[in-house]
Amino acid sequence: MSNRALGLLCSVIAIFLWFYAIPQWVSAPSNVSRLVLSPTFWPLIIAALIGLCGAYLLFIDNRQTADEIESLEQPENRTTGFIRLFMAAVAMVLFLISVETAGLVIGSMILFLVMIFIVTQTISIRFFVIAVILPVALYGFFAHVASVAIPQGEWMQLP
Amino acid sequence: MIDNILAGIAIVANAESILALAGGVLIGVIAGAIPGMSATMAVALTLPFTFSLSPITGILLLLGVYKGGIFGGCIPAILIKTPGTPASSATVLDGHPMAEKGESGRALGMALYASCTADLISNLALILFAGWLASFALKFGPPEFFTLILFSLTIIAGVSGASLVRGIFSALLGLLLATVGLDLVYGTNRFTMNDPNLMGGLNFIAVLIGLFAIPEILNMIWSPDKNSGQARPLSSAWVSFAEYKRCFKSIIRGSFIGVFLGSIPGIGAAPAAFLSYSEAKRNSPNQANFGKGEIEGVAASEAGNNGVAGATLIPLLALGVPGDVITAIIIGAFMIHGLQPGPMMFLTNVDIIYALFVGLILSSVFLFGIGSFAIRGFRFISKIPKAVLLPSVLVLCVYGCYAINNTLFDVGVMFVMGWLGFFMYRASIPAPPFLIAFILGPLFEDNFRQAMLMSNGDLTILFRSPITWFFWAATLLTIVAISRKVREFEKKPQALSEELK
Repeated sequence: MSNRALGLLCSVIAIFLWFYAIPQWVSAPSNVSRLVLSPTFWPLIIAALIGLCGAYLLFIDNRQTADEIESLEQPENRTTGFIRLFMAAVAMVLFLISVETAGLVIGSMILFLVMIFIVTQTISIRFFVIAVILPVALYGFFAHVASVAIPQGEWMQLP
Repeated sequence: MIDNILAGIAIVANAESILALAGGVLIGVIAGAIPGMSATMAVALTLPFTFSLSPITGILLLLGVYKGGIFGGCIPAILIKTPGTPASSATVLDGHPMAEKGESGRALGMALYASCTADLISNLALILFAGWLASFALKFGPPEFFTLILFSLTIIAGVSGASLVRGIFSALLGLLLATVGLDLVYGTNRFTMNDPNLMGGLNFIAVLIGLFAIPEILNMIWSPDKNSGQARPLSSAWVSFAEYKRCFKSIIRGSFIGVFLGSIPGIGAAPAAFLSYSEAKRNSPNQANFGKGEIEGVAASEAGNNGVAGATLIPLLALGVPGDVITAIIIGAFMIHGLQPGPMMFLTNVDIIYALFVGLILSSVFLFGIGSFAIRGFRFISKIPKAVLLPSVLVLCVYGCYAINNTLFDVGVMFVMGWLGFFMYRASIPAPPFLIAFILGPLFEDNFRQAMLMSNGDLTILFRSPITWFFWAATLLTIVAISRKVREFEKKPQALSEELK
């Protein structure tokens, strides 16, 4: 991201915080005698500093950082890259939604296989084996050694 | 002191602690040796596994991972010209040319000897200086702690990478996120949207794992074809004692450079390795061989980066402030186990402090044994395909995050932070300042507001003593010095990488 674009983003965040987020979402008691003791003081300082960063990037150091951008790895086809990222995001959301029904163990198995499929476009027996062993082994450790109540869902009950 | 050392030995001298330390070193060496993993990620992923352990065992496990991770980075640096950790970048300069000449065994052997020597020196420095610094810090009140944490926030300058402003922006986002939850003084809501899950603030481990592990997975999904290089075979020739003796001066010099730079918050292992390397080159009779496969170059750079490992714990244990990103994670581990690192810990939990000292000395011994074994096993480690490794890491992250509070909310936070971390990476905004500010933010604000309550809002209390003046001056001087250094080191690796091409 160029300095100019980042400066713009910083400015938008600062304005949003100062004029909307802090007044709406930070409660301050009416009897606070001094601003420095108010719960809003620190968020306001941070918003102001983000605004200053934005102003600096917009007006003083507004050169493009093309060298840095080029040095980051890029996929051969950006569209397929974005599709893969979108699929990963959907998989993560579905995982969170389905854990109560599927359980953490089966959910993790499916998440693992989906991630492998997104990257390699293949699912082999080897991947299936890892997909089963890893979540079960982690379940064993966390449930029986660390005494964590791992959600088992409605489909399968592990000991 | 002898009593304390004996009490420390008594705590560590059990199978659980020794196994945790050895296991930690092994995990760290393996993680450091895998390109794409890092010592930071390894420490973050190991953290949830310490919940069921006693405090000292859990912290020893993490310290083992830290020590092992820093050393492990040199193995791919030498064999595949890809530093496993940024700290091993200088090792590539002479290590890989040696591997190309069929001398990888000598290079790795020297890296191991130099690392263990520097690690031992660094641990001894920690034992000597941490207690002294902590006794001084007992005189601190909230204004002194506020200025100390302000000084510690200059770490951000050291971990900001190419642009200090981007680093500061990242840190401000971390500070902002740290304000989420109930207000420390009045108990009112701040950015909680009335969600009870947010009232205690965002969980540190969920933020940490999200920022450091998930973006690696998303990067692989974005660009799965990224090649990690071809490994050189391990040669049978091993480093001799005569070679170690010849490089000993450079190793000792590099260790002291590492100790000095490591004890200053924010400088980190990579600059120490480069400085140690350049000093060794300047003083060596074999100056012309540097960059072409000179064993003294490998010794100096590894001594420099491993000399940092123990020294970064000096500010952590004595003052309660992290020396770098990994020690910031280790501070979180202390807190999870109900311990608050800092000067008071030397009064209330001195046995644990000395147990850590004993464990750290032991870790140098384990590093020697496990490092030799790991060097030979690298050919197996390097064959783990990333397409399998990183989804496995994702499953590990999910379990680790869930285990913190038995809630899926933390897993959701981890995913969101992972996407934020990925966006920050793509936008060249460094993540380490975010994490450091997120950890130090509540301490910073708490001490500031306590000072304001003490003085009824009078800001001059922040300048009340010579200690506060010292930290104000140190903050200003460090900001100037680190930003200059960062620019120098930014130029050097670029020039070096061009040379390598």
